[in-house]
Amino acid sequence: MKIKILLTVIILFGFFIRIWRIDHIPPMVDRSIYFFRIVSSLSYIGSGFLLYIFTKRLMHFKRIALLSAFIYTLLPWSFEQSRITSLPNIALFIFLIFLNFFTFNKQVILKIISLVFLITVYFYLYPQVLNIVPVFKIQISQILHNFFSILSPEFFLFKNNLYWWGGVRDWGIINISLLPFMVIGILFLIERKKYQIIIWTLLIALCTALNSDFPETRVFYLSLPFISVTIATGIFKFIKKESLKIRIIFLILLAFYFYDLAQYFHYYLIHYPQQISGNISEIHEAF
Amino acid sequence: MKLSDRSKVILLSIISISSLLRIIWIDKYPQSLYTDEIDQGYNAYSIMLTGSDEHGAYLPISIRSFGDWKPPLPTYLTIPFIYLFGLTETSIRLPSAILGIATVMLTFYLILELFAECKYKVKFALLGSFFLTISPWHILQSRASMLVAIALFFLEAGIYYFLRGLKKGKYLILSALLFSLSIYAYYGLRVITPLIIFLLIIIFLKNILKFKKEIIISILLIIFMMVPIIVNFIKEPDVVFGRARTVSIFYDQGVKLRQWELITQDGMEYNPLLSRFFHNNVYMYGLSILRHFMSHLEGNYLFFIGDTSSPFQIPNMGILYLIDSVFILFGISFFMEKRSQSRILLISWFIISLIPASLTFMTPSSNRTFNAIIPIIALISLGTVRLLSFKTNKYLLGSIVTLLYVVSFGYFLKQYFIVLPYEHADWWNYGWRETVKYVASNEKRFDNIIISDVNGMPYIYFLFYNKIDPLLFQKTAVRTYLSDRFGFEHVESFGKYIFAKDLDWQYTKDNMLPKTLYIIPASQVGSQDKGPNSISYPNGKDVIKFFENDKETL
Repeated sequence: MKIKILLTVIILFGFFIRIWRIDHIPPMVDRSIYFFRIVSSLSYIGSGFLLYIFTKRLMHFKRIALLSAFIYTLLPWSFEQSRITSLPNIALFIFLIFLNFFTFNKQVILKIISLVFLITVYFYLYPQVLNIVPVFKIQISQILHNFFSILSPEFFLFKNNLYWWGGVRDWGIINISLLPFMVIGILFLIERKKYQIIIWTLLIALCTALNSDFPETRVFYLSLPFISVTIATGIFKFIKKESLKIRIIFLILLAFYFYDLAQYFHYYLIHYPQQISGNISEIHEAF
Repeated sequence: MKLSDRSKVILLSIISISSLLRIIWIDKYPQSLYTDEIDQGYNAYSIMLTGSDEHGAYLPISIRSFGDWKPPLPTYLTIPFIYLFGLTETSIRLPSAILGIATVMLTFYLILELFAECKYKVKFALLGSFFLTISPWHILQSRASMLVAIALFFLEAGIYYFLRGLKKGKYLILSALLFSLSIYAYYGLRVITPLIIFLLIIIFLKNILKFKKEIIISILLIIFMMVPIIVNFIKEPDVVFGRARTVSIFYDQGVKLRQWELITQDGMEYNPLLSRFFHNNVYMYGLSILRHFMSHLEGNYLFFIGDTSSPFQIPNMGILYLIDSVFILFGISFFMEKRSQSRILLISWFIISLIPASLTFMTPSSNRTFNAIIPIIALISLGTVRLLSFKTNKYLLGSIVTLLYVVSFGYFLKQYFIVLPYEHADWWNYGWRETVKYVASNEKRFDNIIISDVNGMPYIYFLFYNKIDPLLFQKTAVRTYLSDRFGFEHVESFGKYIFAKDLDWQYTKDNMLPKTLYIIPASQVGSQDKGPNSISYPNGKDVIKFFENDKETL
């Protein structure tokens, strides 16, 4: 019960910070966009709850599931996309529905049906994700170059350039302070043979690398749930240790995490609008 | 430990291959001497003949060079080779090549020592030395007279004898000597070596405490070895940090400008304390350092593009083979299972190796992080053993792995021996040797020879290839000792050679001095300006053009 209350508080908090001044930051060209931005924020609510359910069933730890939802709520990219008209954000919600069906149903026919459902919905809602260049039409070196560009510290921590004109490009997709937890999380997942998280992330990275619009494609956004689970797993593993030294390190990292969050929100509220104002004419879609 | 005959044969074969790869055609590939190589060579020649470097400093503790104050050990190691073989490309590059080969052998023994308790230790060690043998990163550095290949040998030897010293205390003294020498080999080791020593002490404290006498001797030895550097540092601070200062992120204005930009964007009405809270030096420089650190973990840098600073590039290749990425991942999984002091040492060694480069703004840098190659190679060899230990058709798997490495290595050989010299000769300052030769056969006709001072430091090429008397040069060289914006000091002239900075060719070509030969890089000259002669790159593009004014008067 306590976990459910905490989860609800997290999601509601996440929704509130997403809709606060949503009509001003980032600047809106047309008032009619307001509705679509609200839809994007609302899809975050669904994604948050679905992520919790998925993580709980996969990892069998409610705390990891709760942490995943919390991390996802405050990830820079998640926050940024939930405040604009974002098809990837809505597509992520659909993806999480699919994921819950696909992962936990043992019957192959149900897995196939859920896959067909996903492809059909994406075909109409988010066709960009299906703009994959056939492998024989693109050089392998180019694919690998794109792949490594995505799975790079620069992209994860410092510069998200997958949405050049509209995104917060001077920030990575995760906060730097979460890096140690992500590394621990990856090692723990390998140790426990929970390869699905890593495999899904790599598959999405590959799809992004093969996308004909690369680098202007946000397909990799679909990996945020897995990244959140990985980080949450790392945090969980860390705080489980009873050593005083580890606890002190954790507190320091936690303090740094809050400072990091403050940095991001400052950047988002003050600098990002100035960055966007200069190039809003370059965004040729609802924003 | 005693090796089996089979292992000895394999090791011998590996050493033979590494010798071949590092020594064959060493005077031709790379096809010309880079500025730093030739400078090292000429200074070694100068010290050999006069006891002083090109600046007249007697037995220098730091080679002033171009104002970058190179650590002296590689220069001194070159002297015997110049004595034996003359002032040639081969004699300059041999120390690096020989120590590169020695590093391959040392890596075998180091890995044996690191994994002494493991039943696969001989396999790890043989694989480690083999992967280092064919490593493009190591071959590139070993075949050139760069400081880092020599420095790596001394650092690795220091670590190896430290580990031996855990059983026999006398080796701790040898380790201290080797660590001290490493500090004289490369700037970056002035940060790395103390950290490595500190790390070794922390990890193996209980083991070394039983050798108190040897520890005291080692400490005294290190202090004794550091006295020359300390004394020279007091006289001239640049002796210690040299060029490190001009490439440091604290020297570059990038972070400062970004900070200024962000504070300006905050606006006049924003609380200044809050503005400083967000855009403070600690956070901004810390972020910059971390970013530069992380740039060395980029897949594109490691496996595709490599270092973009000439001459550390191999065309269309990373510093590692693409297939290495697979074994690195397997190596990491192996590491996780086997908790040991060796694991902590290798991971920490890797991280420490990236620190000096992270403090500079020119990253990623394969040169400054060269010491990381040994932990990486160890990881690859662990990963290979791990992969081949899977319950599967070992011969098929082994054949596939072998085939992939053969293809990768073949590609590297093509890029290094064919593409690099033909398409990218400019990366190695090609053209000056040919220029000096041309000038030598024509200089009697001219009273002045004016060289546009770009594309490396041309003066050093004239000194080297003409074997100019060092004593004469020390007495007659005209220098201002003013640094350019990169921190380098130039020579204005010596004899009839004048090295003109910022030469405006468009003006000069209509106002050429009488009886003067002008040597101008093709990049400064319009295509319509054709002198009587030129030097071309192997691909036919002009690199240097000569313009003559034979007239006696203006």
